[in-house]
Amino acid sequence: MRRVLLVAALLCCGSGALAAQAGVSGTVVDASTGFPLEGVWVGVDTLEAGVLSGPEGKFVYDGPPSVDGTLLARRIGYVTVRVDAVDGMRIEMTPNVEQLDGIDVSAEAAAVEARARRAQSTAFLDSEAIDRVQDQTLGGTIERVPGVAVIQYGPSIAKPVVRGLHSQRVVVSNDGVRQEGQQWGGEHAPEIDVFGADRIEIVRGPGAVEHGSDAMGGVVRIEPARLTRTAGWSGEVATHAFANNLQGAASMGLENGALDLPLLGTVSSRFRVTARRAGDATAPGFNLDNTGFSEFSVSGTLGWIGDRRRTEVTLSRYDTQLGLFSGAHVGNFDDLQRVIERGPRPTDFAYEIDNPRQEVTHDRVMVRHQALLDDGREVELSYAFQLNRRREFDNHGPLANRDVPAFGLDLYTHSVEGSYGVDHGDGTMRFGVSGMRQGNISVGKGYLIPQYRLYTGGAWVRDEHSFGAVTVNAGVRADYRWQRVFPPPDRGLDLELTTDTWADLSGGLGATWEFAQGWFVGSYVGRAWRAANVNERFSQGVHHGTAQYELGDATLDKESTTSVDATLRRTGERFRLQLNAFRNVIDGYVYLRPREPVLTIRGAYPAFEYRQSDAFLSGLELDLDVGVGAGIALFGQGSLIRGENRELDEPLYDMPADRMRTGVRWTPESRELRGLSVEASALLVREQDRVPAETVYGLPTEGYQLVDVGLGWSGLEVAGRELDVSLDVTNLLDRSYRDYLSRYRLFVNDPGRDVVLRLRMPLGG
Amino acid sequence: MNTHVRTLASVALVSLIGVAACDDDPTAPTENEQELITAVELTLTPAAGGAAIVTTINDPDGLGPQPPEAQDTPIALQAGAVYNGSVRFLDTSDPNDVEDITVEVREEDDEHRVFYTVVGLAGVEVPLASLDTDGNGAPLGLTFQIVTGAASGGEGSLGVVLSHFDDEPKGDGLTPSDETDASVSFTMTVG
Repeated sequence: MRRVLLVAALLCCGSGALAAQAGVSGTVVDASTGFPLEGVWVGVDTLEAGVLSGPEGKFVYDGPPSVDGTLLARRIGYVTVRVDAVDGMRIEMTPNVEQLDGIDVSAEAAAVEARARRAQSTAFLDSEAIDRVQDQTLGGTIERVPGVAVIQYGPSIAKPVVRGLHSQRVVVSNDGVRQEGQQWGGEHAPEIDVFGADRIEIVRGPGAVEHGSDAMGGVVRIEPARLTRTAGWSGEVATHAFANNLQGAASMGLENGALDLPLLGTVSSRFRVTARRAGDATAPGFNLDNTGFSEFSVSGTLGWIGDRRRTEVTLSRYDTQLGLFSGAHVGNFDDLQRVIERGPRPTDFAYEIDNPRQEVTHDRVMVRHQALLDDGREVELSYAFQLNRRREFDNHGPLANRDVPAFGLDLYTHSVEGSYGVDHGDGTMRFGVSGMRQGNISVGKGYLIPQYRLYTGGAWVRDEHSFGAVTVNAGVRADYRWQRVFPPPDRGLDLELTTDTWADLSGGLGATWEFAQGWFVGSYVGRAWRAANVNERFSQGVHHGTAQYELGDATLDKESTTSVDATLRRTGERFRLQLNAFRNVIDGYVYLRPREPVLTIRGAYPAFEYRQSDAFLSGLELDLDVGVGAGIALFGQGSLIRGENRELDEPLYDMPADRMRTGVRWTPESRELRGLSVEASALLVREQDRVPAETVYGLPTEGYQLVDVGLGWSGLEVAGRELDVSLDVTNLLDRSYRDYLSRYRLFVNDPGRDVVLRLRMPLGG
Repeated sequence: MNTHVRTLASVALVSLIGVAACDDDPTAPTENEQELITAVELTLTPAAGGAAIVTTINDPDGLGPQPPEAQDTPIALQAGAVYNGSVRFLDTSDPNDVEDITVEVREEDDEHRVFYTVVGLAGVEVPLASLDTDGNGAPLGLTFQIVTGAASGGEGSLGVVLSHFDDEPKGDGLTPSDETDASVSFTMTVG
């Protein structure tokens, strides 16, 4: 007898000696009513492609054979079952009262199926995977995904870079709402509580029309857990401890599917509170002064869930204080030279967060209504208000004003979205409209970007159509953008009231062909565009922490990209592969170019100005996982990217260095060790020598190698409770290295060895 | 249907909160709170008696992209003389409320030091011993002396750098910090 335990995805596990025959057919029925069930996912396991049962509950499974001769049947609202695969089989499914309504059923089934057939290159982390890799920040959590890198300021600020692009070129969508934070610099990271993420999807490359026109690099989509309908309180407590910066983090999630509230009636509810405190990070033998940070977030969702309609209201606040490495905080060019030459001065570990620092809060109110109409049609409407407040505290200037921010920005965003989906039998078609009103207010004397008013409107349509083994995805989107920029009342700034409008089309077309069982080949052509942003057009000031003077250019036009992407994908239990190749042709790529220093009363600053130039980006991504028997799997994840300025014939600044992670994972097959997973991997990063000339920031970084080991146990029974526990050691050998995208790399090494302990315990239920 | 009424009511309520929280009018003037150094003023008085030279370098946009303006009065010194100097750092961004930041520098004298560098003028120096000192006896430099040698002459400059010691200790005050608060250069002739 043989047991195959899949830590990542499996809910249950069956036994049997025979392999399932190709071409097993059967019927799925509701065990309580005997009625046939449509839309039940049938497959070997959730990592493989499966089939969906048809209108009469019938299915024909011709996917990859199962090792133990069983098939899994899943549908939201029913208990997942595993049954022996016999031709003509009848699968009875028991309704799960804890589960959800029709909207989730169609969404989940479609999502599982669509993922394997999507022409666009996509990576997906489910809740188990997130638990296993969850880091201090969103960026750190998705860093291992091929094609993703992070720009980092120590451990606290990690900005995701997808296919070499970041900031406004990567859309972060949180619970269906585009995150509107302040992405004016590398030191501005997304304001999201990673504990609240249940699923994360990373779409690489442009062309995901429902998220806006400007996702030139890609989309990071974060989804929270779905609302429960089970009455009574249940939840979880999760705690993380990080040895490197003596960080503690704890998060508690609670839910109650039938909460009686005055005036509001009986509602489904979900609440989460997260707190985090970190001290200085430590590079090998060196304390990174003032790199501590803290976070506090709360969120609550109430939902009115009917069989065919649901309304959700979510309120959330994310509050963080981030210290910036004091050794990198210099006054002018002479100071910068001094620090680089003699290195920063040694300090002792502290939790205290001193200047320079950032205080950021992000508040969100979101209301969404979904209704399931007849014939598989569905309507969704949502409204969101977001308020992002950012305060940056400088270490310079008169002492009496240390508690007055050097500059502050308040970003107010109202957005509405509406979409209509229809299941046309061979797939789904969806139409949508969206609108946004945004106001940016400056607070404080320092100037970074001007105040502005922004209106955007867009309409899109997207279709997925299956022709047997071939699935075609297509989408098109039209956008209009109106922006008025107000000159600051301050002295000396060369700025006038300007109003601009932009309009253009974006979209994509692609197809996937399942040329053999579990083997897919796909290609996608995507187009995206982006209006030059206020910081690119109107920046006039110093970015502290880098002593870098940035000057905008008000005449910058929009940039646009056309990307061709090819994917080879193998889904399966023992052999999984995703190989992507892409080429991005960018017209009018906006970037920072060095210019003569700017002289101020504080001395000279190295200066950069925003320019536009045509560019190429091309690259390869590999994600491979091969089982070699005895529960041992080998894996490899690699990214390679090349950025080229087509006009100047030189490399683009800020491209991630080539990297490859290879490792081995052991998930023991014995019953006693069920849920255990042990992993060791090595990360090899090549030197980044493809850098533009003439800038101190273009200094190449050397290659480095890191070894990581980890051990995780999900469902470990302790005192009658099932715990998820993991212990990871990153940079096991405590190597000194500097990543090219680390913004402190001119001054200090990146953080050294870290030991991370994660614990998750269910409550109630 | 009752639940729908409640749903709509709560949706309306939440939306109202959202709209009410809105104070996002970008045409409103911004508050200006943080102080900046926008002017450096030197006063040089001949020790032997005579009229003082008062000269200022203004940079109205502070850290803005416009370079500092030229000094408003030339510095013409006699050879073979001693000048008692003093420096002031000012925030002149509001002409009706000029702030003298020198007061704060003096209050926190153990975290500041003014460095003077003579460039291109042989025989002209700012003796370290002439600088005033902080409470710990380390040089501060809000007052200083310029000594011109009998044989000195020509045109050069006097660099004035206000170093701020917040992260790193000032110690003996002989090394500049990495946190420069002001750095300007006055042209100066001797002869």
